[in-house]
Amino acid sequence: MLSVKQLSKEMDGRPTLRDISFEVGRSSITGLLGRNGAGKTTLLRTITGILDPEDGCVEFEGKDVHRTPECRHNFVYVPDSTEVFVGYTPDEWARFYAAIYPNFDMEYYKHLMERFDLPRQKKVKHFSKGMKALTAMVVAFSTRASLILLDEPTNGLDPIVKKQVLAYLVEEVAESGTSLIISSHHLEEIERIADTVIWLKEGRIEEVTVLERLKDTLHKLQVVFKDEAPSHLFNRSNVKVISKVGRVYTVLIEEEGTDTLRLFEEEDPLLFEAMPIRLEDLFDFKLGGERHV
Amino acid sequence: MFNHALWMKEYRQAKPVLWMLPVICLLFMGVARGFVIWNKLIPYEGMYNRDLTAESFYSASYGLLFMRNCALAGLIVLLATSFIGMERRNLLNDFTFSLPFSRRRIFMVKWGIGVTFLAASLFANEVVDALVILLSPFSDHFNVLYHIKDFAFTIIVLTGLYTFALFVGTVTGSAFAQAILTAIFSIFPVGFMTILMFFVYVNFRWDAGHVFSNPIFQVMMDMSLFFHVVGIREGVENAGVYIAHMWGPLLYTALFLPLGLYCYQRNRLEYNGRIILFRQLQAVFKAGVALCFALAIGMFFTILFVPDLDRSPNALLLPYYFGFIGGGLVTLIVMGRLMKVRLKV
Repeated sequence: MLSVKQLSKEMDGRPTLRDISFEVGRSSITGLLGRNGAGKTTLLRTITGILDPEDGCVEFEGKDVHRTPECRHNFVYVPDSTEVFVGYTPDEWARFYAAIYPNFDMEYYKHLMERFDLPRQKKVKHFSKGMKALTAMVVAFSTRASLILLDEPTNGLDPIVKKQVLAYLVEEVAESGTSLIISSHHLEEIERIADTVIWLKEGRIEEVTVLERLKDTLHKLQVVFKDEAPSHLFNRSNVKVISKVGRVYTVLIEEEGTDTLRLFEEEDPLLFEAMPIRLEDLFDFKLGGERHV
Repeated sequence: MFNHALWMKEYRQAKPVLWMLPVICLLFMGVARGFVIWNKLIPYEGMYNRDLTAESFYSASYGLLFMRNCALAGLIVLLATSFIGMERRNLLNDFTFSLPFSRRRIFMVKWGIGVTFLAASLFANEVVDALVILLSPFSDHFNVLYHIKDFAFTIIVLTGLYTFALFVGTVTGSAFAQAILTAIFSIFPVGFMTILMFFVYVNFRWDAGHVFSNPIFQVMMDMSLFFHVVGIREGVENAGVYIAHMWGPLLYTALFLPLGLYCYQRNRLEYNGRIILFRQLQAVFKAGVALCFALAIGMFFTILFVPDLDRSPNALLLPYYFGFIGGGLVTLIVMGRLMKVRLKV
């Protein structure tokens, strides 16, 4: 549905996106992860047609998004701020979107507003941050667009609303077949809802992870050796020690098979325990593990 | 060009300024016209016991016409900045460019809504103005041609100015830069010619004579929108003469509408806030401003230090080049810094 092909973008003469390529299919949730300044928002803004790329292109259902803006009738960008609509009531906002997006479903909009207990006649400027974010999502999903791009959709939301929003996103994708691209700071949120994660580092795609396959390619172990830890194992490029408490090592191993795991076993450790893999582990492994994403 | 959603968006974005257009028209040429008739002209006739001619009747309100046009010119530039410059300072620009419409269409709606409101306001104004006259004791002085000329000249001049202001918005990165540069360039042809003629005089002792009688100067005046805005009232008075000078504002519309479209399509939002949006133009702009300031400061220093400009050329050259080089260098340094600044307004 969406193809990003060798996209490059400069900001103030500095490369911000470099040779970005990926595809997004139907009924999928793609998470964009990376540290501050990695290029997440720039990528979303370039995909949407707000920024023009230096090189490469973005195609939506085979049409170049920048050359044929009309194809954007079927996808909506939801920025992390609703500043543009503060002077509107949700109903005015919905009517405005209905004039833009031909498939806008007014009944569905009313149903969602009722479901989330959001007032339709009150100006958006009087809403709380969570209400604003929810309204933006309700209006975006009511367009019945096949692709929705969300920039930090849960920023500033309290845990209850956040949970509500995440559940709603998954439900929408499952029921309506919409695809989502979500940029977020929160690994655990992306882990809960995304099918695929795109890791951005300094404007490049560092890794594309299909979460279902994550457990086949990354292993997390807790090991304790009788004597000194064998350095030849820890020096391998596919092995990373993420913590050491006393003689207890927590290790990440990246490999498709089990060769390295077997090497660890051959050392006859006192403790050799596989642990569940989290997205955070992959983040540790790929992007250096700083918590400040 | 008509797209309901885009018109809704643009209308909402500039609603207060758009409605100021008919209000200003009505205040100056409806309410104020009535005030002049009943509080000035009728008492005048009674006091001096003589009838006003049709000509004096209309010329009594030329001041109002002048004030209305100046106010409208200011408003129309403000409208252009609401549509483009002010949009750049917040997420509205992101939103506009994310919509499923071409930038060409967005620009045309911005232009179309402004011109439509201007034309409708002026037309309604002429109707109200005509009604005020027809319902007054001076109804026999009513001259439909006066109102047609006023409408036609004003719409042509203000559309030229509005188109130009929108164009300036497409190459500048902020509302402030858009408004200031529109104002400067509205008088630029005459201003530049003045400092250029002084440069020629100082360096080559070639006196082009009285500036106002110089045919090139007249061309420059025709090309300066400022003089059209303040001169519409004379145009209405001498329509036959003024019509020959209308090519200036017509050229502005014909030239800057396609140029504005071209630049708007190529706008790079990552440079929002900068004085000049296009990197290719930044060096040209910097050099141009430095040259203009060098010429102007050179002229200022010469006039300041040499009261008698007919003295020998050498006496003029020293203060001139002192100001020219010093002014040019200082401007280059200042511009170098200014071009890096991101303006918030």
